[in-house]
Amino acid sequence: MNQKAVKWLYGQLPELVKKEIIPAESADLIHSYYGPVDKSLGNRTLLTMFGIVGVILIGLGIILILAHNWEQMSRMTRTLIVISKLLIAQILAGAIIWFKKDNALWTESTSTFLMIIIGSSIALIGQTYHIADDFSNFMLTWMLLSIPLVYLMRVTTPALLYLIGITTWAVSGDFGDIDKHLIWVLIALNGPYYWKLIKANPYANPPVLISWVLTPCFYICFGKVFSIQLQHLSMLIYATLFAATYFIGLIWFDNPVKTWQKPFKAIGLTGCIGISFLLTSKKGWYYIGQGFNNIEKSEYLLLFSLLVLVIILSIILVNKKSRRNLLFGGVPIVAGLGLLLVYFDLSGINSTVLMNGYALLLSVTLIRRGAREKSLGMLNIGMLMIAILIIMRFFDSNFSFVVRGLTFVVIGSCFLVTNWIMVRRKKEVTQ
Amino acid sequence: MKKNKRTLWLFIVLAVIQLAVPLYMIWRFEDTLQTGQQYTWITAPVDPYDALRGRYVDLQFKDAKAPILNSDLLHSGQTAYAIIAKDEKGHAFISGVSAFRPEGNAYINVKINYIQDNTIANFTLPFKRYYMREELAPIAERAYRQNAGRDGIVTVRVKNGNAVVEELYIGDKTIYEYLRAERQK
Repeated sequence: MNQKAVKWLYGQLPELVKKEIIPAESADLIHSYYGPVDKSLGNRTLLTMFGIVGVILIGLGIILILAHNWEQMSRMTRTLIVISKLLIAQILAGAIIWFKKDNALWTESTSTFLMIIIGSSIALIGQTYHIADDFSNFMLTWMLLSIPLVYLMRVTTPALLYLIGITTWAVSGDFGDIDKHLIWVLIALNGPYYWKLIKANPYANPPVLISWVLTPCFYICFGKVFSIQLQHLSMLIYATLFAATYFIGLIWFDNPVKTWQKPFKAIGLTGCIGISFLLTSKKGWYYIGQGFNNIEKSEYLLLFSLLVLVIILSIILVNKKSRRNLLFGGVPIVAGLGLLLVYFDLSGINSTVLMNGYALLLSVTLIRRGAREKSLGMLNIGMLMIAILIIMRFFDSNFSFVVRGLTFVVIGSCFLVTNWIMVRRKKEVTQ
Repeated sequence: MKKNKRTLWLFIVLAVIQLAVPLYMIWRFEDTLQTGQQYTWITAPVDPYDALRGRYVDLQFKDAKAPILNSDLLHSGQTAYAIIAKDEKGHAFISGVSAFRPEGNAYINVKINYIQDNTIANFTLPFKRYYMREELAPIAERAYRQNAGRDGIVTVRVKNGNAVVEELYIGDKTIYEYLRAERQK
């Protein structure tokens, strides 16, 4: 539980006992249930972060010093450097396992240091023997040698670096003789650690950080592996991915905590709104229409299987909670309808109108909700979305500077007036 | 404490693997350098705008392509075996590319870039960089560019498909000797 909330609760307990609202035994039970307030928690997290940044900087410094390429150093000396720096980093990590296994600052810093040293050792060998074009092998070897550290030392920074490294390997596109779908196995190697963290507390820093990194990494790897299936329908397919992420966030990770602690919801929602707005462009649908007859069966198959997934998730959401947020994740369904419309009209104009209507509906819904719930932030986001929609349409059509200028003035005035009204209303309520 | 002991043992196993992998790489490259067969390759003229890339000399070779042997099926990105032959002056070149490891011939593992007319394979030779000290690399690059194609030569040791650059020569001098001589002028 939030340490601040516990502290507040402990502050209330004496008064509650004094007024005989709860018996003293209950207050003791509450104390023993939540345990002592850890005042040093914030400091410790900060210290751990500084420790990690420190070792990353030291590690990068070592890489740069060796990249200078000291020609005086014989191959033997270079080998000795490789062995000794690896041994030093390993002894440090080994000592921490033995003496301070439960100290996050030490385990995170030493394991991160060891991971960087492994990379720098392989790089030094590449430099010594003038190896070229082996980036993909280098990345893969480095990551596979490092991933066991995550489990042996129960550390998050190497898990994050591993995800970034594996994604870099996928982005390099140089799979050689390896099947590119191996990427899913490589990502899954992080899975058990991540799952354990989520089961313990999905809103703690380590699982939240991993989710923030994992989600974009997953999208990037997906794009690389399914590049052939994404030739014509990339926007629609990514819309299903964002919607699925958003629904997963709503169904399983939507406790009342801070927004940044709900990465799936935040990334999914941003992606859904972003894609809806991109799909309002006439050009986008025009290109889909032009290539409509060249769309392969595998592209449809991927799109429809992901659509089925989104529908299943939306059913779970409706059963479990409300249909309140269903509209925002509905972009793949609306875009799917748009694709059907393209079948009848290859110019894509009907689909463009449909998507514009949908984007407008999203904006108006947010404004209404903002006004009803007296949330200035929500209201402004809704208005900003309408403004973006109007500005985007300017790029589609030829309007004179005067018309554009006037529209901008009107939009700006609307912002000011609405905010002024909202602030006044809020004041009235508080008075 | 018991759990820590088990973790420590597992960590020691991991540490041994982490040490063994780079050591194996070093051993493989050293073995190729010590016991591999030596070949000299003539380097091709370098496009000056493509040449300056980081702190190494970017080696270029003419005709990084060769006929596909025995109508083998090859595709881009695949690792294939390039067979080494020598011309009348004793310089090495690739006489053909095969999908299968050739027996009796010296060969290099190469990565296929693309296939031309189903008969010619374009590939990248694995020794296209010569790493040097940061301030020397651009000077060496310039010297190499002026001489490449005329008397830029690189010696490479080859064993079991692995190729390791031994030395880069400008004329009959190594690149370091050449730079030293240039500085004394």
